[in-house]
Amino acid sequence: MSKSGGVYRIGTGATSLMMILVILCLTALSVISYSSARSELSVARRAAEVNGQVYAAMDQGYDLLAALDAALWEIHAAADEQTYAQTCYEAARQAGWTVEEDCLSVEIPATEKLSLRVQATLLPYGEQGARLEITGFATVTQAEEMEAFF
Amino acid sequence: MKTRQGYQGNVLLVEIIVVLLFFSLSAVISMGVFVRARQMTEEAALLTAANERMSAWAEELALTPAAEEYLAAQGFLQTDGQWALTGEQAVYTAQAAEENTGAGIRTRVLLEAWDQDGNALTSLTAGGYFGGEEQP
Repeated sequence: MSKSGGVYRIGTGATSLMMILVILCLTALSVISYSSARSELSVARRAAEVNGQVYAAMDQGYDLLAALDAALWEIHAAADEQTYAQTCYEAARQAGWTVEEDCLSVEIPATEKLSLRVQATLLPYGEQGARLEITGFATVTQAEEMEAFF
Repeated sequence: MKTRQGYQGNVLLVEIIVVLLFFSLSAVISMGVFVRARQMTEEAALLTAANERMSAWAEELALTPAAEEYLAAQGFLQTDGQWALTGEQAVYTAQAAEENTGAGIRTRVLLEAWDQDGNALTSLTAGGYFGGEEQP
């Protein structure tokens, strides 16, 4: 009851207005929730895809290292100390590695913007029994490559 | 003869019925959207968790020459040549292979994650190379 003694009534149209408000809220919330979930799933899928591609590149990198080490192992048995380094560098070039001074490197594309760079140094003949020292095994982005280039 | 108040009451009643119908319809549609959003969020969480777990294993496997021993230590069980680990929400499988190149040992482990319905979530290839230090 009002102060004046009148009765409050729900007027015609009030329920329609309330319905429009509630439906608008429901729709807005459901659209926000759906789009957020969708983008979250898409990010998770993309992350899993990139992760798989990076590990596939790493697998390829280990394959190249194994092949190079096997080649060096054979050269070590056959070559003498004077020709060892030159024969090794030649074998590395033939296996697809880039040889700069005493550093061997190879770049394996992982994704469109990411690649894996493997760097190794040839150890002197007969030192510690090992043939290679891995000095770098990391992903690099194209932006980093461009910065290094310029 | 109907009074003005009675006529307004009927209009209000019809309006409330129409409002309830529309509200029910929109509520059903919105609930469907909310349910789908929840499923997608759960799938994303599952995929992220599986991805993180498999990445951690892959990092360890790159430094471990004994891949099968590592898998056993992580709780994987070997059945028919395949390793499997049943997690809370996902099942992980692994296929380990080892190759002796003469100069060293190359290990390779294919890790895969599956949801409880048997759908593939993600997979990655782990492993490493461990060069021998003996002179040829």
